Amino acid sequence: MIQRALPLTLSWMLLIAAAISLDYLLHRVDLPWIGRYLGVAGTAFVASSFGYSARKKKIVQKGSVRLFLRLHCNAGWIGTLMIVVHSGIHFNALLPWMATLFMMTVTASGHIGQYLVRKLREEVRIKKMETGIENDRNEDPEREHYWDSVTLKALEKWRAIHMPIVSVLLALCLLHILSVFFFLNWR
Amino acid sequence: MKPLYVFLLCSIILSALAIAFPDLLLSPGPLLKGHEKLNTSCLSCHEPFGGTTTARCITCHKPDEIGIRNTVGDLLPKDTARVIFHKGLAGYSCKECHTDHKGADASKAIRTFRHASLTTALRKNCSACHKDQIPDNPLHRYTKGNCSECHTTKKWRPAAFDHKQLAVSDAGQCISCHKTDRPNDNLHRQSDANCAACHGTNRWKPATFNHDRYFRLEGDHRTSCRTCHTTPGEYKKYTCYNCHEHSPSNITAEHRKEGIYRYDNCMKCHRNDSSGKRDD
Repeated sequence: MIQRALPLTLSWMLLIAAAISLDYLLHRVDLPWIGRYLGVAGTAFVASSFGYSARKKKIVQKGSVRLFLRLHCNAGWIGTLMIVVHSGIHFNALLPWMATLFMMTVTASGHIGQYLVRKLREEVRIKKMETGIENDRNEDPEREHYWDSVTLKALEKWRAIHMPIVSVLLALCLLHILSVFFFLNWR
Repeated sequence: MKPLYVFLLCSIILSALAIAFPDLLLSPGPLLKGHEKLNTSCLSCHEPFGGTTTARCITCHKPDEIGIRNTVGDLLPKDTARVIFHKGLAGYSCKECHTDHKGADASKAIRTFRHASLTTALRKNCSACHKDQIPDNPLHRYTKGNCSECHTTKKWRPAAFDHKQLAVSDAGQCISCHKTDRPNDNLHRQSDANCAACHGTNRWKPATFNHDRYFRLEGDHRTSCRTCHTTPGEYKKYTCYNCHEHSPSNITAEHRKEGIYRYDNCMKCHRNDSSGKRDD
């Protein structure tokens, strides 16, 4: 368990440490304005991480689900880092503050999800081994998908918590972006 | 509950809260002291999707009254520089310098000022605003008020002074500014000339003066400048008659003895310069 949980815990803590360090560095070299644009870049990264949902819902037809999951995790991590730096760790208004808080929560929840996926995959591997199909390298893609579905179904409980938090985060981000467009000096 | 419903419900609740309490949910920071009443009236300054416009600022802050009256019409203590400055602003672009949401202290809501925002006439009349920053020294007393002739708009130093900016009468008074630059040596102590007789206006060195080019000061000739250069400040003219050896009667007698009758220009024959030629 520790073997699986430790790297993910470190990954989440590294995210916080990297955000604080990067923000400190930008202020130190007098380039804090870069943080403003990191918000846009971070949003793009987070948006690209939704490719995983699109793949699962078969909106995107091609590509390995595992590859999309890896993209989801990595793009989400980088996007979160950028957005936390974008917040400048200044909490003036509640809306962006809550968005940052929820973003960290979603990322933490994502790390828990990643832990569960690894755990379930391990269990599936053991089950496959018990049924004698663990060494079948030329396994039928349909069957492979079946095992993925088994994993996904086992994750339903986690999804029941993860997705509502993501939805709240999306609502907060949308309102934050809208308020920026509404009030910003464009000229 | 389905994620979509959670999203919609949250969006509706948060939007309602943002409209009801914009200062808590949206404001990036408290407004400055004079604007505190506008804390929940964002649209007093912000135009939807258009930002803050000068038109909105001047509905309260009349540019011609800045520094004279406050926004409710009460007279303010006299501040001429502030009045001239704001009157001279091209296009009244308030947000070039002013911002808000930086807290109650108004000085924190001032952006870096750009001289380009000023009218051409005011840009040439620097002292209208920088009157109190003019140093009280001879150089600045001679200047005409356009700082940009020597200084840049970013920093006072380094400055590039051009002596051509001085009036002809002032240009000859080098020592009034360069008193402390004058070296305390024999040559400079005795010199009454203005510095420009030997020096250029950009650098002290190289200087054009080198006595060896004209006459080596050696032996009995190692004497004060005034022995030969009798007219103060005039070093092109000289005389050889001011010492016991070269009395007019001696010189006349010696030259006539040799059959020389034109001997008014001593240096023509008695060269003693850096070329090494000497003719006694």
